[in-house]
Amino acid sequence: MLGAPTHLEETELVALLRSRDEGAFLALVQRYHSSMIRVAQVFVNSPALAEEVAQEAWLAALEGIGMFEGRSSVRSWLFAIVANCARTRARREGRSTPLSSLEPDQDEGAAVDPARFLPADHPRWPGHWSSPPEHWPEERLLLKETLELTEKAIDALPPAQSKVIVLRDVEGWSAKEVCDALGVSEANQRVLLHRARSKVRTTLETHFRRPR
Amino acid sequence: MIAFKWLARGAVAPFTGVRWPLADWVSAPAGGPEGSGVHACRIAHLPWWLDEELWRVELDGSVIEHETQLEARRGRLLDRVTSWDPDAFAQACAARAAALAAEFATSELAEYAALARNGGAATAAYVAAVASVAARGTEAFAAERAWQAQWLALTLGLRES
Amino acid sequence: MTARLPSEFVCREIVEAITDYLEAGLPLPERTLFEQHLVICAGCKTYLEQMRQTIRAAGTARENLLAPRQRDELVRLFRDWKEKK
Repeated sequence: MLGAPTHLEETELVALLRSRDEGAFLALVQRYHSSMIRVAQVFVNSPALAEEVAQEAWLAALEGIGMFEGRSSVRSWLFAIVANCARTRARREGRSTPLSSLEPDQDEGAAVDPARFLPADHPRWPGHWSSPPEHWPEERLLLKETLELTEKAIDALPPAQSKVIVLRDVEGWSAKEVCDALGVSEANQRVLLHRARSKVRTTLETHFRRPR
Repeated sequence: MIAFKWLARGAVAPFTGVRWPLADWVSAPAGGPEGSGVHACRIAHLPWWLDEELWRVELDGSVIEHETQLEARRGRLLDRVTSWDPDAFAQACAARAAALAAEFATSELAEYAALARNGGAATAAYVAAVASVAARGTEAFAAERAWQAQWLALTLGLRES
Repeated sequence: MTARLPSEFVCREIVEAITDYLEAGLPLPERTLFEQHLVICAGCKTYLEQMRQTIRAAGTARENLLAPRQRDELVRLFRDWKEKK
């Protein structure tokens, strides 16, 4: 994320937008459009449809700019609009994600391969690491290749897990915002988040373990 | 109230990675959930939270006494206990495990003695406590931790108030 | 055989509880046991660090570039809207 916008800065942008300033609109677009597409995609699944929905959302935002009172942040306001547009569109297109598909799979495996731990019948240290994780090189962490790998790993997750981690960790939504938007319980959301993060961590670990 | 706090190198909180300010008061959010206050140790709690740096802290506001930690509304770092020597402490704990291994001569205790000898402060202390349970039963764990707390208090000249 | 206290966390349990911990969802007694395990276990400490690094990578990962085509479409959208009122 680029430097987080200040409240003052965004208040100014909204004021300019009310007076139909194209520069202000573009500034907001630069800042939020990619996120809006990602959020839309959580609901409509198709990238092409997600782009359409994001555009609809910008139009809805422009038409509603007179009613934005600044009680919430611009970010929350825009995301609420795009979530609404996306949900409506998904219903219309018959692409609504059935709630059942957002429930965690019963047969999901463990967060870490059980072989990495000493077995339950180990005489001294059952359940302790037999093959503990090793530090990741900090300098490799935010390299483009690492970030691309992370993005790929997220995209490869089962849909319910992907939606939750995109909203929580990529877009920074709170647990409550995610539960409200997706219509899932706090408990289910947390299970999905746990599995998603565990899988992505494993992908990164495999990557860092490879000799360079 | 004067108490103690273990931090990672650079006065960094060990579980959050957040750096503690030196001398400034740190406040916990009012009305936060249980455990959201500033955590600190009485001398008796020290062996449970061993880390690289030992600090004296001042606590303010209501202080809750949990089983192995204090929880306060406000706290600030006072000074570092620079005489804290993790290697010396590890050796002292390892010696205790070695003594048990010598006394009872089981392979289990021999393993613990070796682990304690090769480990850092936290490992040696924990393994010594585990060894004492193997030798003397469950109650020995707390007793070994109490011995460790005593060692720290005496060796480092710690006073709580 | 094992001399451990029954209430302690072992590493396999830590990796399953990690999200509850990070979400501040562990009640204080459990959170205390969780953290006390980290004190004595470098492997689990590293695992927690990796979880945080994973979250950070996810939050940094996404491209925030606006393609020229997208930009143009949105400019058109804006100008149409501006003209309407």
